[in-house]
Order: sequence, then structure tokens, then C-alpha cells
Amino acid sequence: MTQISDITTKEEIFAYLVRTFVEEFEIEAHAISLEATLNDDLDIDSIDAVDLMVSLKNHTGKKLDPEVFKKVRTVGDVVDAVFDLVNDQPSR
Amino acid sequence: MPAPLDRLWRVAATGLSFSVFGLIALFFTITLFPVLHATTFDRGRANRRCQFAVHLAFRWFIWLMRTLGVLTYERHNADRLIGVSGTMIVANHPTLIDVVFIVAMLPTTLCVAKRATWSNPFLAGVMWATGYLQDEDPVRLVTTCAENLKKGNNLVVFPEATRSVPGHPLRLRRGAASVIKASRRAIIPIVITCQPPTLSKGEKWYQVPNSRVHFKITVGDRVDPSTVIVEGESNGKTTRRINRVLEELFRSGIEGHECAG
Repeated sequence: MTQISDITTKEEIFAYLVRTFVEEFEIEAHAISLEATLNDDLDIDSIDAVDLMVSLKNHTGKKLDPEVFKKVRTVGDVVDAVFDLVNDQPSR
Repeated sequence: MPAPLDRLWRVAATGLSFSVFGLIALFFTITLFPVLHATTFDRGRANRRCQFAVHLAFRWFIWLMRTLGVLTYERHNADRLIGVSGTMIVANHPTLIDVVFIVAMLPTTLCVAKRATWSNPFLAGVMWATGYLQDEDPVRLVTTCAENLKKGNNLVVFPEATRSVPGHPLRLRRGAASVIKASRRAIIPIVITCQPPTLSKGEKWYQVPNSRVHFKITVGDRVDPSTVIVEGESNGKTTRRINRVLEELFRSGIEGHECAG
């Protein structure tokens, strides 16, 4: 398990997301890229998104604003949102 | 009847059926439902009374459509739904009127409907009176569904969350599976097919096929989900495993319908 705040760079965040998608959502690792859309390419629905947010909170110790998460479309968007969150940037 | 005339008749009869449907929903909303609600302080009881009224109306509506020649149908093992309570009924979702066939077999049941239904002027009153559940915040919906099952209410859910795309494999979302995981209650699957396909997503009511449509509705055996739920496993994994079971039930059921001709 990744410890809290272990993930700070975009690369680490992406690696963490790949691991979570593979382990918790049974998604094939090769399907996951920054451009992959959560809904269409990876078949992550609103229920999964909630699980993902819980997982993110456990790993970063910070709670992602659901409103920010609603605007997320691709894996790259998630990486950016988490990056802003862990580095205390205002959410875009 | 010559083919073009027959088709024209079915367009008119479909339009008439749907108009009658909407008008009865409105009529119930301003007459029957308020009375059913005003004569008890128990909200749940009022909801169940209204659900029963909807059940009767849907039975009549199916009779109307069959009598007018809009459709024919056959039902298999409908007796499996007699007396069920606290059960989630899951069905595949080929057409707009699937829920009508299902509710016609269940004297009282809740349904999960999409949010837009509450702003449909004809149906908003039905949603309010029956206490049907709105497809809203996913976490809250899952909790509400599980609570209602525990209370003994039946619940109709389409795990695809929207109508199937004809010719494509079923794509189940994970809301229904989450309710199964949360409630751990047995489910009853229902397989629905319609030949030729009609009233699917994006189709208008007047796009009736060249021949009269035939519905087949098969009620499956109760399924106990406890064997597919693994303690301590992530939601994502469990809901996917549940969905594989559901998908297989639907897929084999649809195939069975098609083979039977």
C-alpha cells in the first residue's frame, strides 16, 4: 500500500492510478493511458468513481472535491486534479 | 389487412395507446393518487396503494395494446413472482415499455427511474405517488435501495441503467450490482426480448416495424448472491463479478428466446 502523500509527481500519480485500476477495477494495464476516457475507454461508471475517490482519499489524506471530479473525463484529467490537490493548488 | 394499411393501423394504435397511457397517468395524479394518500398517514402504505393502482393500470395497458394489435406477448414462469417481497428484480432493457410488463406482474414494487421522469408532466405525479426511486447520487441511491429491500419492498432495476443498444453486447453498469452487494439479498432475473426490435433507445414511437412486435418475458430462478460476494474484497471487484453472473443470465436467456423462435 502506498503511504499517505507518497504520491506527489504526475508520474507517481499516474502509476498509482494504473495500479488502482488494475487491482480494484480489473482493467487491463495496457488500456490505461493519459488520453483514455474513464467512461468510454475504461468503463468506469459513477459507482466506480466514488470508490476511486475513497481510495484517493485514503492514499493522499485529502478529499477531492466531488464537483471537480464530475468534470473529469480522461485519466490525464484525474492526474491533474490529484496533482493540484496534493500540491495544494486551487482546483481548476 | 394489406401490409401498408396494417402498418398505418399500428402507428395509429401505438399513438393512441401512448396518449391513453399519459392521460391515465395524469388522471390518476389529480384524482386517485391524492385520495389514496389522503386516507392514510402511513407514507409507505400510501405508496404501496399507488403502486398497486399502477400495477392494475399497466395490466390494462398491456391488454389495450394487445387488443389494438400493437403487440403480442408470451410470458414464462410469471408464477415465480407471486408473493415475493424484499426482492430485487433485475431485467435487461430492450424497449421503452419493459417496465410495464414487469410491474404488471408485481402488485407492489418500487422502481428506479431516471431523473428526467420526475420532470415529465405526465409521469411526475406517478413518481411522487408511488415513491419510486430517483437515479441520483449513486451512493445515496444504493443505500436507499438496500434499505427498501430490507423493509420488504420489491425493487425493479435495469442494471444496464439505460436501454440496450440493438446488436451490441449488454453493458451493465455497477449500480444494481452495488445494491446486491450492499443488501446481500436474493434477486430474480427477468429476460425480455422483442422481435422485431422496437421502441429502443433513440427510436420514436411512430417508427413501428413492418410486422407486429412480439414480446417474450421469462422470469428466471431466484439467485442467491452470497456465493459471489467475497468478504473484504474491493467494491470494484465484487460488482464486476456480480455483473458477470448477471450478464451470463441475460445472455443465455436472450439466446434461449431467439433459439425458441
